[in-house]
Amino acid sequence: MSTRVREPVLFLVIGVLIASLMVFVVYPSIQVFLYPSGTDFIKILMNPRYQRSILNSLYIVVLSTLSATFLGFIYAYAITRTDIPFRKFFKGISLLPLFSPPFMVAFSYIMLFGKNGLITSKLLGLQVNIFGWHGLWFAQTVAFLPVASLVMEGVLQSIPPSLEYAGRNLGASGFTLFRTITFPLARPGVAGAALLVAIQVLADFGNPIMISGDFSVVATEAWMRVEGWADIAGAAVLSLLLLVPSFLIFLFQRYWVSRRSYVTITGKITQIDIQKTGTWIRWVLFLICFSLSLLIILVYLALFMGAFVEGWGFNWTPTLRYVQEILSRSPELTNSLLFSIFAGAGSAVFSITAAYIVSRKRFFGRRFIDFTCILPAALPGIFLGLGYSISYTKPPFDLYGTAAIVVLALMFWNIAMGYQTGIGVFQQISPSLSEAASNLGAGSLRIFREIEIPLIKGPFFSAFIVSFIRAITTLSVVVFIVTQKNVVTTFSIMNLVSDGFYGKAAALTCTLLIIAFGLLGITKLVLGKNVVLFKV
Amino acid sequence: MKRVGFLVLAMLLILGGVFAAGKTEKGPQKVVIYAALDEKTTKELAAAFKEKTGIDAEVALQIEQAGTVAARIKTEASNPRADVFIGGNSNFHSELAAGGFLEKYTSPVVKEAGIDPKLMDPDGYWTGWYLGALCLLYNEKLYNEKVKPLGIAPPSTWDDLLNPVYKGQVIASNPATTGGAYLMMAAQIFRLGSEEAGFEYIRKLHPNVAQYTKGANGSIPLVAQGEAMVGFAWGHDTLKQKIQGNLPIVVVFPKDTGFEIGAASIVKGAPNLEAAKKFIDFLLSPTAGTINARNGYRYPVRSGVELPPGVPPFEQLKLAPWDLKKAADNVDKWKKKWAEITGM
Amino acid sequence: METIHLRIQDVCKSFGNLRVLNHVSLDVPQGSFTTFLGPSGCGKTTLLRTIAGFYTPDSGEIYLGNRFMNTVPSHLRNAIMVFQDYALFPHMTIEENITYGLRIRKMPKDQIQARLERTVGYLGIGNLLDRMPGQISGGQQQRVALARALIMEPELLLLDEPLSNLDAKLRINIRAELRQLQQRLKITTIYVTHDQAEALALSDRIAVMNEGKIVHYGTPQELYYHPADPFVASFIGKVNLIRGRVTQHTLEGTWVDVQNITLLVKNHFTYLQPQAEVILCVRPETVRIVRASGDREENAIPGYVTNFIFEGATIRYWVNALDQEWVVDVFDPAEVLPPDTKVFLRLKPERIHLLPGGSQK
Repeated sequence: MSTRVREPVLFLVIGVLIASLMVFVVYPSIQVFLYPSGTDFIKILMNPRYQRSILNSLYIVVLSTLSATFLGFIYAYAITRTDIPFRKFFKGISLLPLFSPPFMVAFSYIMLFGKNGLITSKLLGLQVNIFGWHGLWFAQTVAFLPVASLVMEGVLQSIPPSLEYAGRNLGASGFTLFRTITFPLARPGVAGAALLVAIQVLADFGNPIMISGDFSVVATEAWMRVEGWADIAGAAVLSLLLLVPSFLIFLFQRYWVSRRSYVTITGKITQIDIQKTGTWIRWVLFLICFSLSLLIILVYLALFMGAFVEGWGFNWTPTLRYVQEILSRSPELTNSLLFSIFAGAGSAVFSITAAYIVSRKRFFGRRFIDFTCILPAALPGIFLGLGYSISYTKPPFDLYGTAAIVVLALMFWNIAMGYQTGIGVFQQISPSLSEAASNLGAGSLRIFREIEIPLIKGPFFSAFIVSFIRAITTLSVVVFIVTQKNVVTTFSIMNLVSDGFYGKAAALTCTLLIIAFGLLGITKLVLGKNVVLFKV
Repeated sequence: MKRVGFLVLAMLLILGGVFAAGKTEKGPQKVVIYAALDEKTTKELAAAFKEKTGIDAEVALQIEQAGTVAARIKTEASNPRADVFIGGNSNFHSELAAGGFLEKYTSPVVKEAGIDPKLMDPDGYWTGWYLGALCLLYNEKLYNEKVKPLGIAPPSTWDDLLNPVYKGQVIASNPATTGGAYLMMAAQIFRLGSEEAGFEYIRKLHPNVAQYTKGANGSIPLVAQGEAMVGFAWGHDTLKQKIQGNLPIVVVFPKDTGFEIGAASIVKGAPNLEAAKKFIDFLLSPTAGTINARNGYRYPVRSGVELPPGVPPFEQLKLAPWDLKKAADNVDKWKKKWAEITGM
Repeated sequence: METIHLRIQDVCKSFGNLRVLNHVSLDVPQGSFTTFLGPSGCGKTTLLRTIAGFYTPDSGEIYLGNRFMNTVPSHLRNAIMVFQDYALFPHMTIEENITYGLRIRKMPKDQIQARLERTVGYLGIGNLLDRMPGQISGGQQQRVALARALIMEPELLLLDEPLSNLDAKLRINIRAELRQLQQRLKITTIYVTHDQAEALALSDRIAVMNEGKIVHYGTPQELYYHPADPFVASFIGKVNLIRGRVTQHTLEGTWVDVQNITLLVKNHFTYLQPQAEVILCVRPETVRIVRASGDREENAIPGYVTNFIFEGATIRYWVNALDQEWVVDVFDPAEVLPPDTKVFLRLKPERIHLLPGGSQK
């Protein structure tokens, strides 16, 4: 109560935050939760198919998380701690899989590694069946390697170099140093990265729907309940099934792993003399990075080829007509770009504001904000999409067919990442900085402009970029809320694929990729340095 | 504390911006369409309707997956936006009707044009306006390389798929994940005359199946890419993809094939009920039939509509006897049986 | 003759375009306590890290005993360092931290245990062994870091500003302990600091560094009373620097003219030619200050008090004389001379140090 009197603006902001979270996160979630009846739950849970897909999901999550984290760590280690050549190049390439619009990237795997695949069959003469758990494992490993690697680069860079110096000074070298010092120090960060990967693998439906074959996972089953049987109740139950483990993972990461972090000064990149790596280690690391980069390049190259040949996979005559057709009709590209920019910016402003207030102030409702801001990280896209479709197509929040409903859904779906980053940063920025400025005579506006903004800039842009990427490449969130008026590119890609226009679908996917990458490039230019995209 | 004020201002601006965009306009008479059809057909139907009646036809949602369209109608039920739901097999419409999401309407055109009333909903909720048949498809190059040298003729009947030469080379679809696949399974039961015979066929087919795709038409890209040699799918969708995408596949309509009734229905509480009725009438017109056949390769329910080249006349297709009611009543039972046989 | 333990010969090291070590040469005697002293950025830490093997010199050689060290990787040097931030491994207990190096060497457990007990005995940290580094105080962390180095029985102990994170009182206590311990264990020790008081208190030898070079290497007394140049003079202790000119050398000493005042320097700086420009270095505590009364005194300069601080044992005066500000420390002051008091500054002839002049600003 005293807050309202003393700091009316703060009181207002807290009010807006809580109200927005109630309306845009809690309310639609409850709507989905209440949709199915008790029998719906029992029917789904008793069905052996869904029991199997739960086990499958867990199985593939464990496998992909282990491999993506393992390779991601090697990748991050090689980039940050060794002197292998082409490190910058490897790093740049590893960003590509962050941009994986549904269908076409997965299709590219089939193109390369299927029975008739360019690499497996044409190059190596193998008859490989990519469909199934192994193909999915492979694709998910590559798809989530960058997330793992980006997180762990940050972790490795924030280990104080004097600790490794000290270890070396006391006689440890090479693998002993790694085993006793570097890895144990990075371990909490590695665990954090693994859990982040696990949540994303769990909710991903784009790759499994194309290449999991008869190996069913919960995310695709939820999707198919709607697409195949118009069964919203079943989809709701299945996505609630997804929500439970992913939320547990998130809580575990938040309250257990992060507490065990030894890293005190995250984000600060310290100059460390790169030690000469042992020759064979060097070559092994180089080879691993090289193979992974090559793989990623090939997948995206295949995708681009799809846009420029007559018949992807069977008629390699070059053509420009798909690209021309796509460029001539592009309201959905404009929509995608604008919606994602708005959602990204909104998500960044919202999450950084929430993080600022939660980490600086004590007030009633603080825990609610904290909890609700991380909740969306665990929400599968389909869950939120259904919730918005049920909640915001009728009064009092009638946003049917508007840009608003898409932007809001994408915005609130993505607040968790920015919020996490923000909390991390604000915990490290001493409040005394702005007190010092105020003490030196700076007014509020000045403090905000000269002290707070430069400090917030980093987390703000990383929140923006991550939200933007997720927003522009998602299908599951938007498929239940778009209409012809607010249609977005991923929706059109899906329609093109169902109509057999694979060339056009590839061209549209490539255009989307270029736009997304262009924006990332611009942001990097504006900031003039690396943006820390993921942090745990 | 003023600085937080700037944040809240920025936030309000963004929220305000998106809300401001969220106004729905009220205009002249129109009909709002949710279509589970391809883009071109949908657009042309809307344009032709406007030309014929002067009523604006607004395509609010166009997506091939009928289940997703039906789901949208359900989630929006408390404040319906769509007037008509066109396309998708009649089961989706039946299910919506059973849930109370549809408005009853029987078009006078059915009688006027002498359309078979068996193609309409017995309860009067949906209107059958086109037919689709199941087809076989095979990869021409793979067949020529691997099977033709053995002196085996191209697959043309359902039983051809049981040939051991196609071991691991057949793409089927999964009734657990999609209603379309359920109809394909039911087709075997109706074709062979009994549940036992139908499931016996599925048991025999199983060793040859490389993959049961999640979608009903999942075999099309996979056979085209050479991931497998043969598959089955909806004939109209296969022809459309083959022709639009120049896919290297051959489409065959086997005898005793299964079929679906493509339906259209009016959404309960449709904002433009009268226009919606006119649109349903329009769908039964020769104009609509021609558009649908030309772009979507679907057979109109009324005879005498010109078909695009490469599409066999519906009359030539040999259809298995179909029992809509039996198919609808046995969904859970047959899916369960199927799952037991295939282990999927 | 003492044995040379560490020999640094003509070492250069650059980071990018920045030359951090510029032809550094240095001999460190066995068992001595040697300090690298200098302002930040002078290269002292780089030199220490080069000795530890974290950096490889671009040119020049390092010998430990008779061993050529340039090619020996850092983990095989047994030149153990105590880091400024202690670099205690946060994921290990204090005991694990201290025994880390011995465990890496795969020393038998009972031997490790024996050494551990001895080392923690020296430092009085036996009760901390089960704790984690985050749970102990700064001073305790400092001792643990020292224990972790000492347990290795290093050939060379390297200390990188180890006291800088401690509060003043603790710093002085640990400083004394460190010196005693070093003298007892007779480990050749190199200490890096920017604190001249610390350097004077601890060291057998001090190497003053500036801009990547060693500008003066000698005992604390040599550095204090006979600094090699004005930089050294003013870096160590407080000093008054006065420009003058040599007039003549006599049996009594060297005579210098400072603005027409003749001063006697009772040391023979015969290498300075008559008429040579010189800088006189006069330490504040070597100057006596007396009220001006009548005649000018021998070796005295007239001036007036501008300000003073009473510091208990001493009074520090600022005196304007010869158009410049002098600092004078008076011990056991009998009276306080208020500002504007006319005074004479009496310089002790044997306490004036002369440096060749001309370059001093």
